[in-house]
Amino acid sequence: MYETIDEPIQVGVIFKNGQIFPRVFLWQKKKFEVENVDMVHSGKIGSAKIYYFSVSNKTGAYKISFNNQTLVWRLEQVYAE
Amino acid sequence: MNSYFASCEQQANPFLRGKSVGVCGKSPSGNYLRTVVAAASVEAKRLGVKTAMSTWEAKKVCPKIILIPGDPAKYLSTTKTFLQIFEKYTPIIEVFSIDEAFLDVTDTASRFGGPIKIAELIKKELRQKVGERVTCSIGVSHNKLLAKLASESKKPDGLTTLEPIRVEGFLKNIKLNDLCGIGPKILKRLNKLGIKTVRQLGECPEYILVEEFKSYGYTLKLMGQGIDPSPVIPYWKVAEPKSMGHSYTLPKRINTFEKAKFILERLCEMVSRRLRCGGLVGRTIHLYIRREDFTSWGKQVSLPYPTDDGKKIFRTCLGSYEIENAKIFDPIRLVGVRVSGLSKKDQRPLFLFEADNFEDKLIKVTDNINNRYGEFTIFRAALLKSKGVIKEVAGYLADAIK
Repeated sequence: MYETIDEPIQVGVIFKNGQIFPRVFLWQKKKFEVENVDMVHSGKIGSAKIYYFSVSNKTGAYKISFNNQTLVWRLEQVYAE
Repeated sequence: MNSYFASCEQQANPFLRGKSVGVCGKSPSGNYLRTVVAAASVEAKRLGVKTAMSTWEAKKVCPKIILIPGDPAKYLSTTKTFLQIFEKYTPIIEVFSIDEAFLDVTDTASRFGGPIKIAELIKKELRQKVGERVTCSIGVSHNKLLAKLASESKKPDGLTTLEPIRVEGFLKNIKLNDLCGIGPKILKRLNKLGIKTVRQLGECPEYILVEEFKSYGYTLKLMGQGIDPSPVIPYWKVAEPKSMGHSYTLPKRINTFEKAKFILERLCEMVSRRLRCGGLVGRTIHLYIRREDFTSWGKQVSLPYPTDDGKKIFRTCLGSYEIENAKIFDPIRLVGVRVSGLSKKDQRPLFLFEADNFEDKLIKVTDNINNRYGEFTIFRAALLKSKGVIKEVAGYLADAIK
């Protein structure tokens, strides 16, 4: 089941071949290692382009987003079984 | 694309892979009881879940099905990705739906090693750019009808070629309603004429079909013979829309129209916003209501001049409802509004008096703010009641592919 979070997070990323790969993020003082970037898609909120990264590790799947105007990362959703 | 929305969700979330998944709409309360399965995963389909099945029915057929809300932005973004892949091979791409497209590679195929090679390259690139889970079935043939049938003959992840010499044999195994353009109603009428197979359709004298279906009879005759003269119409040549509308299935039964008004007002605002984004205005407003017993009521009104103002559209809807004095509704299930008679806004004459232009100016300012900060950042206070009830959609296929 998906749970909507919509909170700002801190993210560590790698830039490689013109792409961004989130590797770790901090949410509520807890560190989440990213093992897989499963999907990347984009959307728009007003004039801002938002990049959505569907990422996962052994414990869960997460949707995080990056706003190209505010440069803010957010944790959008968490999937828990 | 195969089980498109569900495949996208399985690609995005590894915990859904290998499981029965149904993508559906979601009510604000979080229940899925009044929606349908827009897309079922391959696993769910194997257990009998079908596209457009109601969620309660899907749960009955497959109790373990995981229902998740759809994410339109995700699917539109993926569609744009595969359209970009197609553009490498031909500029003539007809977007048939969010997950289907026709490519005319007649003039470009030789550059890439032939149509089958192009199909293989598309599949490979799709896997690289979107992921292993999002697969497509490709049909290669000499017209759109046969290419579509070929693509549907092997799912998932199929690649089927249909040469002219094999068409007759291929059509023997096709059911009439597998042909794109033959729905349940036409099928029933064909059956009444004694036509039960594609072969019988192709052999039926043309005058019988024309007598029953008028000009569509000619098309049906050709379909029965595996002939489709329609060209691939590139998406940059598609005609302007003839109407724009929105409807919404209410999250719970509503007994009076009064209680559905605030939903209708938001729908009117959404339609008007899309009209303005497309630089269009419309003259005819159509209100429709579906009752709990699935019977419908509708009324359309033509305005003296075209509009793109949500408030005006809403008031016209209310007016048409009151004219009919249709207060004897049973519980309402769905409300919808459609605007037709569209024309370009810049062709509309300006109002004579400055006061009449005030609303236009106000709308322009609010649109600028919403363009900058996102939909419904600023809106009329009357819309507060419906905030959060209808999920704002990130975009529409027709708008996205332009």
